[in-house]
Amino acid sequence: MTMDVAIIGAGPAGLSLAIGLAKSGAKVAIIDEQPSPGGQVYRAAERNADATDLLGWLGPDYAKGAALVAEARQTDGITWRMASSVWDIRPEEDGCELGLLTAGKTSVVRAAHVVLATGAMERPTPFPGWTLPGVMSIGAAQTLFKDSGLLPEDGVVLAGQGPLLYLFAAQLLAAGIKPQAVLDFAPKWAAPSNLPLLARATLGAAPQIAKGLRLRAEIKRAGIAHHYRVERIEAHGADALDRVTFRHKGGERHIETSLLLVHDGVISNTHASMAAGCAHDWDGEQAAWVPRLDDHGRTSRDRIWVLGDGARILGADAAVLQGRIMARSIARDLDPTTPQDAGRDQSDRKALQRLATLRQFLDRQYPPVPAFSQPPDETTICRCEAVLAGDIRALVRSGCMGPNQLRAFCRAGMGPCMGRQCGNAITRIMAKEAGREVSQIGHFTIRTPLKPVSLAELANLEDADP
Amino acid sequence: MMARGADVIVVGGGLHGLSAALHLSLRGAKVLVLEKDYSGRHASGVNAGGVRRLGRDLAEVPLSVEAMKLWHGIEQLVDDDCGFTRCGQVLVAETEKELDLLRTRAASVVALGFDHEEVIGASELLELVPAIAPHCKGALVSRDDGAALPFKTANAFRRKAEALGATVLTGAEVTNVSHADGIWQVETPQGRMDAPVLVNAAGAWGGKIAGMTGDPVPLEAHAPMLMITEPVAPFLTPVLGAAGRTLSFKQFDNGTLLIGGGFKGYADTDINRAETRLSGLTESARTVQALFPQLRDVRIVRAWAGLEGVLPDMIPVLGRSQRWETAFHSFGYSYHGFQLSPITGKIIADLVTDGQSDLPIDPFAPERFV
Repeated sequence: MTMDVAIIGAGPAGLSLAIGLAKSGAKVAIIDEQPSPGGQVYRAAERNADATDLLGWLGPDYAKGAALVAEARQTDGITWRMASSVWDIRPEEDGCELGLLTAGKTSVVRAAHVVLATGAMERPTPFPGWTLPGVMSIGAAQTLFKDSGLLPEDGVVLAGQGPLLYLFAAQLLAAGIKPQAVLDFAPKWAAPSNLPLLARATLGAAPQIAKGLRLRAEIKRAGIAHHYRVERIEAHGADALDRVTFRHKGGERHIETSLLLVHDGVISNTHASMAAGCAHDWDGEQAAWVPRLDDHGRTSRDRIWVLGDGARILGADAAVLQGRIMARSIARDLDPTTPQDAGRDQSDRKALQRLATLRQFLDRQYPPVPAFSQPPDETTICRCEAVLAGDIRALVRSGCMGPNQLRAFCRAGMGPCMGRQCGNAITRIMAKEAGREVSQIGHFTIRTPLKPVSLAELANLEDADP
Repeated sequence: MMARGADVIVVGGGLHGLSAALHLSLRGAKVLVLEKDYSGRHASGVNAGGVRRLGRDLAEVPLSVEAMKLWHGIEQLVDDDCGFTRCGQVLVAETEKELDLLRTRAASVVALGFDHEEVIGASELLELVPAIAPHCKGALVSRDDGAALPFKTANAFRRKAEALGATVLTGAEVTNVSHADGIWQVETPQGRMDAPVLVNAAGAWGGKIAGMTGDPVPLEAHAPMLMITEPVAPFLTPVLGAAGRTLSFKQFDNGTLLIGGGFKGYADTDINRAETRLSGLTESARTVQALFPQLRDVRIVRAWAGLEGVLPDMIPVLGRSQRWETAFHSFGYSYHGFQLSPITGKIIADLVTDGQSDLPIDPFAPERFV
């Protein structure tokens, strides 16, 4: 299959781009691991379009995903490759080759341009006890909610910080579930130094700021214990979680619970862009690696582009705007005679700027929780290979220079997830221990396959490069 | 700034450079190793780890046999077991014709005066590798060969060389080499380094350094590829190759399978990068499936390529510079340098300190390409 553009990821960014490109006449394929489009934020939007209860609980921002998905579905000229994972990205001279795996069958898609719209992932939150059954991330819990309406029970404890913490608490309350407590690592109000930014963010994105305040008010109105400025937590239990201890206002406290859901914001999912060999830089504001991009979203590698949260966290609304802008850029790359649409470009970029200001405020209001960034030595960091924070620090002290060398010493990041989960945490622990900038420490080299493929699946690949 | 000095500068902190540093240090020389990345970053650290005399170019056999003796006592040499196991190496014949070729091969090794390679029939092969596909006719085996862990080995050599007094400078890419008043002046971003003796062990970059010492060789950088699977129950003890196919196959203690053998990816020494190529990975997967059909559903979790220096005749450059009495080369091991590394350093140390080696190294002379 040969396309003009192959888009990896059918979230808001990928969908918006696909719509724009298809309308300009380009041959577009959109690929996603999920059976239906929407990405994480609008996950299962098509199937849930008529699920009135669920839509009510998840709120209006989720509901608008269905409209975007429907628009894309109705646009002619988009080839849908859902339930397909991309396991290889191979830049070639005249385009790019993608290795796809669909229902146990491997195939190759060739495209003149490849756009990575792989979205966000949750920042890893290692703390003592986080690998116990009964501890999971809020993102994972929300996925179960969207996919199958599966809800936690009363008594669940939410911990961490950021907009998703508040949103998920409110979604649970709407669905009639009463969390036992919200252990919030953030302060209740913005620091005075952050107020000017808050003012600017409010000017440009008042509805979003209002939404955040409303969500917090809902938590309060429901009578949920909401502790601000929590300093650290530990999960305890013999075989599964039964107790959470935490430090708050100088004292040690504890809560009995069998389910703890944790969240510390989201970071760009750069697995695909790293596997494709694109250059990345450490983004200090977001405390994450991001691909190095030009104004149009081009990476350091020819014909590979990135947009949406995979480029830098800006949220779903920004992703839609970026998709529209990039559709025009790529259309001009494919056919230089395509007329410029400076007016639309300018208004889209202006709207994007407002959302960027809001994000800047959020990044400063919710910097990574120190307790998760620098957990105690006994904390598991790489779950696949059971490597502890203390192991990593000891290797740094003995002269290990970076994550790739660390791999060879202790196998951290060499399990089936290939460092996808722990990479961000490992880099920051190494940098702190070495007393160096994260940018000097570097990141894991990501190897193909991006997702494991079986020998038979690989052996049966018919259309490999000559 | 004053240039840093040493008795010998070794360019390249991979296994061959570290082995030279180790053996030279054992003889009391002050050695400075210049490594542009870190030790084991390329071929030395990411190769398949085969410790194999089996099937080598006949010119290499005497060196390989001496290297094997050092491997069998590797802990005495570097204070570390390097993950070495004497698991044997097996080269499988799938047809009678291949088995005949292996018999001829074994005879030619015997004619050299060595007896480590022997031919076995189908039933003995089944005993050695019970999971092998039933169509296989026999194999060439070398029972005391084995495998080791490359990165552990590179580290052990580095640590031992350092313990003996050698200095390994990392992030020190050699940008220029010149010779003045009997001293080699080696430029790096960390300043100029001086020594009367220069050893080039720069692997895939060895040709570039050899060019600087006036020994042009047609070295190419290749990117041989390897794959690792998820763990499976233990079923394979020796390292396995195939006479009619490109394969190197072994199982680690943790159950994962290593699939290699030399299918090439893309190599780019300028940007320090090796990349995998789908067609080669596919071919490797087909080979394993043909020999072990029961593994079809085992998943591959990662594939990679390393940068390796390859010469047209597939044997290394190892010996004195044709132009300078005080420059020596040890690079271009063409996919199979790992096993030789304990002995190549000794050969370099012999050349530097005694002016000669008692091993037959003429076939590896740099001037053979002139």
